[in-house]
Amino acid sequence: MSAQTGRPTLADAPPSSRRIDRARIRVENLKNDPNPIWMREMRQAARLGRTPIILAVITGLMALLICAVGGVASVKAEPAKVGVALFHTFFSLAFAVVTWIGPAVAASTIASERSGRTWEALSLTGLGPTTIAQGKFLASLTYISLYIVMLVPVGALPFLFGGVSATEVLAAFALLFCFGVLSVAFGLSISSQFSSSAVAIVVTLLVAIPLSLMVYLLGGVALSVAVHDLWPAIPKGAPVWLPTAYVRAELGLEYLAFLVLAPLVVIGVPAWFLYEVTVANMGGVSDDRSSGIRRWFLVSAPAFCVAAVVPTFAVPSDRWAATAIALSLMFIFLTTMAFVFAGEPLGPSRRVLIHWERRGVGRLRRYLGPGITRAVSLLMILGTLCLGLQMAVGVILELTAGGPLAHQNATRVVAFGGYLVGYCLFLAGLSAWTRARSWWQPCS
Amino acid sequence: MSQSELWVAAAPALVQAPAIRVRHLWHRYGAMDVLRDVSLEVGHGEIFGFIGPNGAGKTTTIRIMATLLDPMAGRVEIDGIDVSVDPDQVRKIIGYMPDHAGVYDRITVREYLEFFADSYRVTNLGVVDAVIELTDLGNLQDRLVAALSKGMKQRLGLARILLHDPKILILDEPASDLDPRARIEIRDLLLELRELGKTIFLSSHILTELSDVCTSVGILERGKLVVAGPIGEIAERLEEQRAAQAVGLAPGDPGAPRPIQAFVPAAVEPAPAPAADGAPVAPPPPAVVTTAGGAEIPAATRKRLRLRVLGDARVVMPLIAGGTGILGVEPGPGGQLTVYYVGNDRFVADVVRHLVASGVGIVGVEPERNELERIFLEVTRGDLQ
Repeated sequence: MSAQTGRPTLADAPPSSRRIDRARIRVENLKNDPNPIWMREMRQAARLGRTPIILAVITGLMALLICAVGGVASVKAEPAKVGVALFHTFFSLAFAVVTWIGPAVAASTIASERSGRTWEALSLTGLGPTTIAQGKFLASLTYISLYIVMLVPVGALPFLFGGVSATEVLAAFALLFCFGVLSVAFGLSISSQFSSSAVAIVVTLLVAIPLSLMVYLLGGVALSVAVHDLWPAIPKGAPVWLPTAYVRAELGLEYLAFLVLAPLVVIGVPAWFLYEVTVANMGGVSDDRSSGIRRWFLVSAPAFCVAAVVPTFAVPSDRWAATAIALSLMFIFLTTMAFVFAGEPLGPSRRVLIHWERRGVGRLRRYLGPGITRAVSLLMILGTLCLGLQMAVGVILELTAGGPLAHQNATRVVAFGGYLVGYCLFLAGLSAWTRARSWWQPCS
Repeated sequence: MSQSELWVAAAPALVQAPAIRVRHLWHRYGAMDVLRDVSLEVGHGEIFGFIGPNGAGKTTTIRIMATLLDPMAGRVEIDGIDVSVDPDQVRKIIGYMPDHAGVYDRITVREYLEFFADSYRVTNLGVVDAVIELTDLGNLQDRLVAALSKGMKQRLGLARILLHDPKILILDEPASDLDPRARIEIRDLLLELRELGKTIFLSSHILTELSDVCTSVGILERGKLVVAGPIGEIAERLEEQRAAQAVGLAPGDPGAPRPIQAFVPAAVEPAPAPAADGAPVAPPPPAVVTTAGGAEIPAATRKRLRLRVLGDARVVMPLIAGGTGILGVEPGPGGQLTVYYVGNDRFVADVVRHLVASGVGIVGVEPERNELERIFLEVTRGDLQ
């Protein structure tokens, strides 16, 4: 029974029941007994007088700006071009709103519990870091969704001018929401690390603003040039090209690789990582704070490897360069993980060991648990396998394609990949060595 | 398995574990030991007062009990459950109210409690109403938390920790910064909770606040527990110790009572320090006062008696001043007389009888009741970490 909604909570369906019934009960309970933190945050936000004022001001400013741009542009340009210009202007600004306000809103949530001295009471309720993180995430996402919904009427204006289809506008809003998810997850992960909401907001904005500008320029403007080569229907240099690509690109392997697989990996993998980091930061020193991130690495490393290697199939003109880029991206990923794992505890705590014994936890689960040697060995094994797979794919593609430089390029791939594998192993070993010799111990 | 083996196997479960058991607890912040081999036990249904000056380590001990901090060495069990191993289980049976706890300002009292009821996964909706009634928050339930006074917020904090019906309440300075009325209300509420069968572990450095409600106390100084047990028992032992000292017996001599430091749970053997800095704390030198005759006696043995007599108190003063056991007499307004003395209740009765026999009309007799203050002064040195 939920005291906040006054509705009954249904008992979990027995494992023998049909999957559809279990899902139905779960959905029913989501409705009747939602995350308590989400409910409370929404109540508090509803009583905050400045929320509607901020929403109205942002929407009003955006509407004025779009009308001004539209008015100026329509003097000389034809309506369709004005529509395209407004589309890019509006969604560029909306991207800034979501990627700046989203992290800032999320950054204050967990940190404000600590600075407001409500964290202890909350953590003692037994809700657990997972439920707290989910509640905070939902609350921040709901808040940022309010901004997106308020901006919908303004965002529909370009559609009236023509040049963009309704599907493109809808796709753009859907992508905006996805960026909202990432932004909120990013803000939460930083918030979980700090005990002062002011510091958390400042740090979040200091990182989020340059990062969002980089994503906008590299993933928007710069990537649109490469995408234009692949799909000429996408305008060159257009920052908001992805919604257009979903509508205008031809279906095929490229569509699947660049517009389905890559965005899924690019949004899903970081969002999952940020979630695991948030949960880990909220756990106690003696808790198992490693398994989540380790599970994420176990899944994301192969996914990242595949996502990086698939484009090499789509670029027959310069496979060596594509393979080198894929290897480099994988290496950057593995290097980052070496630094993440450098913060691992030396081994599992007494609490973790006792719980493993009680539950009869298997060897794989223990391997994914806390411990620097476990983490680094996983990094070494998976890193070598992923880089090895990319090298193998690169070599096979070069040799099967033939040509005068095939053998030379294959040798280049092996040499470059071998160097990266060696350096990756060195980095993993170095991080383990420094951790083992470090005097630093995490404290709560 | 034979019957006796079965009995042996079942025996540990039959013996009820104390509500709180702390064994050889050590904790350190940086290079400073904030807790040094602290051991104590609190029985079920007790109100245990945890006393100590600011910085003595009370909050650290309490945070470890509340599963918010991991001990560096030692063991803490709540109702037989190790807090380091099963913090989630411990959280289900404790209610912890921290010192200066925060609240969510922009929700009402009822919404606040409903939120925590959901967070504790309380299934009975009536619990919120019951807790509101118990803590007398009914008139305020629709008021925003931000609009509550400090005393009411403390009351709300108490209501919050009662929602999941915990067996043990751990309260860190629950009456600090409260006005006298709010203090009295909190004290009455604690007594009511004790009647409901709750075990209450209460920290404070305000002794009068504790002496009214506690069944037993523990005094912590510089991270070390100097004494623990029922107030009456400690006072009695101190009296014995004083008497022994008066006849020249030093602690440890044959026939001398156990030193006061031995009041920590007797079954506990001292544990080695986790690091080199484990020097034992020297027993505190007793503070002394000088009597009219020039004799020095421990300050803590001096007691105070307030009398109210008919007529001028200064006329009565010569009748008792300078008598055996009388250390001093001070007149006050309205026939009030403060008598400093050494002795027990029989001595007080003798003084009153003597005054009545001398024709003095006695309106009121108020012996000093706060033994806790005396115990505290006697067993601590008064310096901070």
